Amino acid sequence: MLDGVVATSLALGLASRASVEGSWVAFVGLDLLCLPTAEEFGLDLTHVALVDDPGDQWANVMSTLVGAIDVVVTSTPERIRARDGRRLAARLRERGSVIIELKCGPRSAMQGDVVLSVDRQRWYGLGWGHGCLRSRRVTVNVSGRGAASMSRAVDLLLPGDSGRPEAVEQAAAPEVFQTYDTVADVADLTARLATKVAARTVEAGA
Amino acid sequence: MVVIAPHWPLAAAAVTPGIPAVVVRANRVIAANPAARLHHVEPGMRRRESQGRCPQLEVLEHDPDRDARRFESVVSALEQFTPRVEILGPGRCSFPTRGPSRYFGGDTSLGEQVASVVDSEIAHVFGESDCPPGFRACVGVADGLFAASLAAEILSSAPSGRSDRSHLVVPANTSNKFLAPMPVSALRRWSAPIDDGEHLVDLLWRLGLRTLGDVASLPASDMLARFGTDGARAHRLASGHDERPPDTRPVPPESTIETELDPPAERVDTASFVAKTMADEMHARLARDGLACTRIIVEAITGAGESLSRTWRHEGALSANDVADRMRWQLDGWLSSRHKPTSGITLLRLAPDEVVADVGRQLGFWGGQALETERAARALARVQGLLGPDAVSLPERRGGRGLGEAIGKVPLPFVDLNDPDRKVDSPSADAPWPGRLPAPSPAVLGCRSVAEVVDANGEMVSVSGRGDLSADPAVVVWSDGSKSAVVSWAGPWPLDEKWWEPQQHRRLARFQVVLSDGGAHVMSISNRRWQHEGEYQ
Repeated sequence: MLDGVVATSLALGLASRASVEGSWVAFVGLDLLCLPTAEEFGLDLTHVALVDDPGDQWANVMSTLVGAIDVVVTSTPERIRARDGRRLAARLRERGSVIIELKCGPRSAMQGDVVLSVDRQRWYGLGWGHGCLRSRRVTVNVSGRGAASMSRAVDLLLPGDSGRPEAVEQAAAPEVFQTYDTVADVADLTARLATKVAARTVEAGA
Repeated sequence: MVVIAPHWPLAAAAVTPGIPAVVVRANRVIAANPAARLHHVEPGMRRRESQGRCPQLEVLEHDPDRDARRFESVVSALEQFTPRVEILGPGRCSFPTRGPSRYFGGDTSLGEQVASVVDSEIAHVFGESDCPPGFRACVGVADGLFAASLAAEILSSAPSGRSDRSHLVVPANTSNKFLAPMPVSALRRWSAPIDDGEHLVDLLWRLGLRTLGDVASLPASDMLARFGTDGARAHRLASGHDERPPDTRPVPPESTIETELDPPAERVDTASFVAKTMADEMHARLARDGLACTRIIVEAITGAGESLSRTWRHEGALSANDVADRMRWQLDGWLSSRHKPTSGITLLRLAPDEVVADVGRQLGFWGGQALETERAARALARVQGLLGPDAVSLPERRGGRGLGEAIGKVPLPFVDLNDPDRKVDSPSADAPWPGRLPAPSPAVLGCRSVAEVVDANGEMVSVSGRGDLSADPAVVVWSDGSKSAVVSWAGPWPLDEKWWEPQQHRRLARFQVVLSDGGAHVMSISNRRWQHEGEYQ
């Protein structure tokens, strides 16, 4: 689950890592997503599908896609039924896909294995009446369950000068942060957890 | 001998011949009947384009199952000439003529008789007494399959006025002379088993080898050295030989699969379910011996003791899915034909009839993804079934100046996901589009509504017709009344698009702003109205 002010960019960063390795990525219920940004982040457009408005069929759409599509990025509707949540959880356990959930409402309907949130961002490149946005430094807080239960913070450039997510120079960062020094590593962690952690439960908010 | 039923997908659908009709697959026309050809509708066109040329056009979806099912009646009619009919695909079959042509009075006479039998079957499919012109069978006789199919295709691609000739006989041992004047693009056809025909033909053409005769005149070893196995194969075909030397290796007997059906299968779905597992099993057994099969025999024995058998042939190696498809088509053809068996099928037998060494196929770097793509395509099709035809879309690069305009969305039904060369570019995508915002782009398009952007004195900031700014922006007022201070900004970047089209004319000036909460946004002003274009979320 992704939370905070730069959730969409973070989701694109995570999905692009899987996409360059040939995985399919689906965006469900994100009709305002700006696709050129997705491409700038490195997403392979030949492996992208969009379901703009799942309407009240969100749970059905998700359980159809999970398993067939490796990464599903979605914004969860605020109300999903407990039964749908359980079914989706069972499918996730069985099939080993990854759901990246953007938190839009006041609280998320699903509880993920890994929660990434950003509360600080700082842009570079824009002055007072001159320049243009070039790069942004964010601090990502990683928390979650199981292997990710110890919360950490990671500094990232999202995007960096290359237009893609980059690690911040680690010299100044405390040692504990170096374990997850790039978004890529976080993506690896997410993927590993999705396949290995058996007891993934989804609590449904009704 | 190769027999081709022209425009078979349309004949199988039994569209009245006078009505212009096309069969489309993934938004491209793959077959057009003669009535549609009169309106200059050609295969390869987009659906919209073909409808533009002929508004009353009837558009049918591609359905290989239907094509194959209906073709069974044509093939069984040919059994009166020879038992060794091989189906190459829906609408195309072949058989060796040496025996039958002696019995029926020579190749020419056999060709005539075959054509008239197939014509009457096609007429029956249409439910008429006479075969409509333009749908009449085309029969080609030559030494090899490639030359024969080319001869048949010459007849079928002739202008629809063809009525004088139903068959083209290339005398024995003159296939190379027949092929010599053919353009090299013939190697791209379905009958030429060349992996990357498109590429090879293009290369040969650019090297100045314009006809098959040119290719055949080169030494075979040079073709192999320069173009690899594809080149060697092209040389064999161009010289009138079969695509590979005859292989007398016996087919391993243990690769034949038999399954008894108890209770007897009366319906296609129960039988084809079994067929799928049989196909997988056969494929696995052959793969263990390093073999791939190019021809299969499907046999069925019914409860009343009837024995049905049919041979399917393919130019390349058949995959497990291909075999399962062919078995399903065949079972469907038998069980739904006019002469359907009197009782259910009790025994199914699947035997590889011709095997070749499985040299494997070097897949592209991402070639292993084909299976995943197929899986994704199925899931997306199901979602489309849940939500409606426009619910699922795929990105297409189009180019454009506005945010998010550079990549558009194409509904799923207009895209063939399983096409390995699928492009996401449209022609305008490569244009430079001056005036675009530089990367990075905002992640989310205008999701908030802004009332206005004001300067330090609380006056609304405006941009003159010459692009001059009235004052520096200082505060963004959202429409819910909340305010955010501007920390840094750049602009105005004017955009004046399509001034020649009053309906689509757009004139605006864009700004990038970073607000006090650290978030960056793109704002625009047009006709003294501010808009939130996107947020770098």
